[in-house]
Amino acid sequence: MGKKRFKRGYFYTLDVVFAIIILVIGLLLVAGSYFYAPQKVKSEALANDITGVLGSTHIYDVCNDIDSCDCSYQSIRDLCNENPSQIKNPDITLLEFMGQLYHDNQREAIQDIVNETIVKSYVLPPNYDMQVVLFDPKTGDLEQLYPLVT
Amino acid sequence: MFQYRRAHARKGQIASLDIILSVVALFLFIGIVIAILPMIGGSTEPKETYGGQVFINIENIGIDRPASAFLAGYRVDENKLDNFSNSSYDDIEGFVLANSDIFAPESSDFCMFFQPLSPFNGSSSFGRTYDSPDHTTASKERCNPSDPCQNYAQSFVYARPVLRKGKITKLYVVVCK
Repeated sequence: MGKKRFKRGYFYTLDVVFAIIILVIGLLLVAGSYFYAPQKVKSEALANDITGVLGSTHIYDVCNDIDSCDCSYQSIRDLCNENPSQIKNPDITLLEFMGQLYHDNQREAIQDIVNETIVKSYVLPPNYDMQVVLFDPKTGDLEQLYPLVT
Repeated sequence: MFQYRRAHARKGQIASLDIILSVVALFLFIGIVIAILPMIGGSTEPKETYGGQVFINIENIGIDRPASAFLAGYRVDENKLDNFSNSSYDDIEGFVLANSDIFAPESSDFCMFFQPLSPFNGSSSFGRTYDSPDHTTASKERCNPSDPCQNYAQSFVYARPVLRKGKITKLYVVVCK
């Protein structure tokens, strides 16, 4: 009789141990996802910084010589080599250049520029993702430019 | 009657033991959670902060020292950066760590570098952090970008994307406290 009760005690103890393990794992998972979630304020500041740097970097800053397509970014160099007249005005900023490419219906080129200048150069922190969305005043629509939706 | 009382008392003892055990288990559980949480959450791990006061301070250096104001918005002036990094750390620290509620120049130090690491004025970083835990030996004007706050209790990481040498790169200012 006593032996049987002792055995049952083992089961209860084991039950408690399992319950504690499951609880701890659950709590850690919840806490982990909470800690790694991007903060809203930080995301806004980062978005502000990214548009800021794209809006203050001119084509002449990244291209030493437009005539020979001597640019520090491959994506811009490729565009220039393809058709030098695409870079009509070296005084415009990268953000304005993206607007021009949007107008010329060169969405892939926009994606390549964002990829190379922001995403692959680690300007965007590793646990973040980004979208570039353009508001078209003509149609009133939001056009997603990065990542490209096909 | 006596036997009934004894059985009752035994049951009571078992119940008390149960309560004690459950309280111990509860405390143990809380202890485990408290001990493990910082490890998984990385709450002690420095997190990048964007739009910090530090960059406003660096931009405002131009008010007193126009030749060292290397940062204007999102652009870095190489000549002014050289002037800045040629300055004495003690001279510059007050400007960089000004107007902050979190850290005072007396108790905090900073380390500045670009990522990916690229040299300026012959070094990959500018700043001062202590080489020993008792803060007696300082590495003046130089700090270790891979672990700038090794001998400090806290670190605050500020980052801003900037245009430097024809490429968009990231300027880091890590404040160690």
